[in-house]
Amino acid sequence: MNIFRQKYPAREPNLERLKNNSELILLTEHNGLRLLAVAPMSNIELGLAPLDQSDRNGVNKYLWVIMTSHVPMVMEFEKTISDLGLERATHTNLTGGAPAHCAGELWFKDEATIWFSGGSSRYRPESSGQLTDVVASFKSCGYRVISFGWDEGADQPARFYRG
Amino acid sequence: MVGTKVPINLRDSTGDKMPTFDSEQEKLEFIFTCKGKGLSPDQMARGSDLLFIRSQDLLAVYHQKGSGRVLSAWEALQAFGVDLLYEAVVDGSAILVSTKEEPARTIARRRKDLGLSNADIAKYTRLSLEDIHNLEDPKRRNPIQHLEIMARCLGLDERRIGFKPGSGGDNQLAIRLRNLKSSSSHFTPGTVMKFNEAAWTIATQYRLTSWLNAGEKPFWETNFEADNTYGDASYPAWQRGYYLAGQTRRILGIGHDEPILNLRELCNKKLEIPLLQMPLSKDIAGATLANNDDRGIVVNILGSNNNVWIRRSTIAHELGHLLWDPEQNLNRLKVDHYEDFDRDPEYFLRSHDFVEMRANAFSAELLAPRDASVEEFKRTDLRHVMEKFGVSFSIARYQVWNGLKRVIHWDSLVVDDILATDDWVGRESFTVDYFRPESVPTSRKGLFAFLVVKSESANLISEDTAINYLGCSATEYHQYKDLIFDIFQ
Repeated sequence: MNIFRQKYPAREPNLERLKNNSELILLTEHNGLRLLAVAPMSNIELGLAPLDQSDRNGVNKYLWVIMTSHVPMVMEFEKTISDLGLERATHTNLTGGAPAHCAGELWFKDEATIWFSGGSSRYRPESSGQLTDVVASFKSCGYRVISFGWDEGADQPARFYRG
Repeated sequence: MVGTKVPINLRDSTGDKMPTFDSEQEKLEFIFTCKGKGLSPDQMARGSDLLFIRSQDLLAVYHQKGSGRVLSAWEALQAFGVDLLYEAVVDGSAILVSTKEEPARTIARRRKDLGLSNADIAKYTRLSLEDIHNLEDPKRRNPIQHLEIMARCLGLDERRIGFKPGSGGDNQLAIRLRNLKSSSSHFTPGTVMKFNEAAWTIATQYRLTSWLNAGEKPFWETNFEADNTYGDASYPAWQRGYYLAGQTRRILGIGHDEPILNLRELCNKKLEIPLLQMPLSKDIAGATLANNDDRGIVVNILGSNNNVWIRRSTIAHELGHLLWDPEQNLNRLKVDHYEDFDRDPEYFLRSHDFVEMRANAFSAELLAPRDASVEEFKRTDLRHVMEKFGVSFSIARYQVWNGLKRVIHWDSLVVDDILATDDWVGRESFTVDYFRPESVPTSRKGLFAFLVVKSESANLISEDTAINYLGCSATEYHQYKDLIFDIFQ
């Protein structure tokens, strides 16, 4: 991860579309916040990647953020966050609005295999090259990564796996 | 937890869809950043500078990058609805496709329904065979531009490609086109795709007109009602055609002896019927085409229609079908051939084709009412009847001969010159002959082009969409958009 961090410095989140300040509340482990460890990852919810528009979140989606010293992650629809007035977690709930290197989404196929996207409105990968590099970083942590890839037309990380 | 198997019904057992946060109004205010301004959804979208970009799979907020199609806020809202725009704004992008198999499945199915091969499409569109193969591969992410080209030649709504299974294609039209192709060697795969492109143009023209007119129905739809009378022995179909022509003149406020100086403009502006002039196979004169609820007229600019007086009678004939024939008699696409236009009513009587008999009579009477033609003939001669009413030799001859109760000899009705005069050519063929930029396909010249420019000026469509609709380059669009606007305005 450090190689990635050196190549892509931490940046402020894009807060153009902040709905309310609850999106900047920093979650804790009591709210289901976890730190990504090298594979295999224990105590995770297995999931399924999204298929299409009606299934856009898939099952058990995790949000991840590469911060300067660690990689927090949380399930987007973690039940305990509703106590904080949140309907779902956002990437800034993992950083408290602090700068970060990159963010996205993942689903655990098993403890060491993940479906992987760079979907984030706050810290998304800014190019296909950056997405390739962040995938390589996760692979270096021992994960088999099924990346959704880059959508050239929208110039955005793809949001589901075409195969 | 780790070690637990994924339940078989994992996807079904979850309730973790994105929750509904707000009312539609609140979502729109958030998307268009106009909270508390008291604007209607239409006002918000029409007045917004926000642009979106779509690819095959995603809709995202546009940030001056990406090879996809840039969309105005209005056209994105119209195509995809508020929830998807909201998602794109909140999450940075939104998944567009309705299923993972789309748009490949719709494209493959429609191509087969039309009886077209990949080679047919490659020849017509100039996409490579590999490009076309990729469009039917659900594992591929294809350029939206390729999908749009494909959608148009298959008669699909390019905006809905991937988003809605079937993409708004008219299944009955597809079946009709395939049957026509099977029954005639003249009806080539190229002709099938030309009619599909025409169907796309007609639907798009209606959509832009509706947006610009705040949803008002076109004049012809509110003032004309289909007429099921095709006559009998005592009241033949041609007589009904004359009657309907008179009714049409009355509804349009055209005097009984007044020439219709510009039939093209009458269709486009008064009746608000898309009239497409385009090159077709040389035996085809014209056609009346229905794409779902959208009806339009297609007229060949090749063959006898080169003479604008003949082209006018073709247009009038198709008007007879479009305004007065019930849908079951049009069968989505009514193709008329030149050889049928000069036939004597006796021919249609023998073949029981009362629909054509009525449309032929309608055409003649609409353009050159019998009584007025006879009056002009008595004052001058047959050529002057042609010049006054802008009709072909055949029509002038029939109208005068029938108007005079056939008392004069048929062979005595002759003229030296059958060509249209310059003033008629200028009026009727203006959009085909003088339109710039030349690279715009002939079928999209004229009012369609004006509506595109006007819609772009009104922020209803993006400049990218406007250029795509006209099929010209960005440079050409910038050079000629003011000219197009001024000419038709």
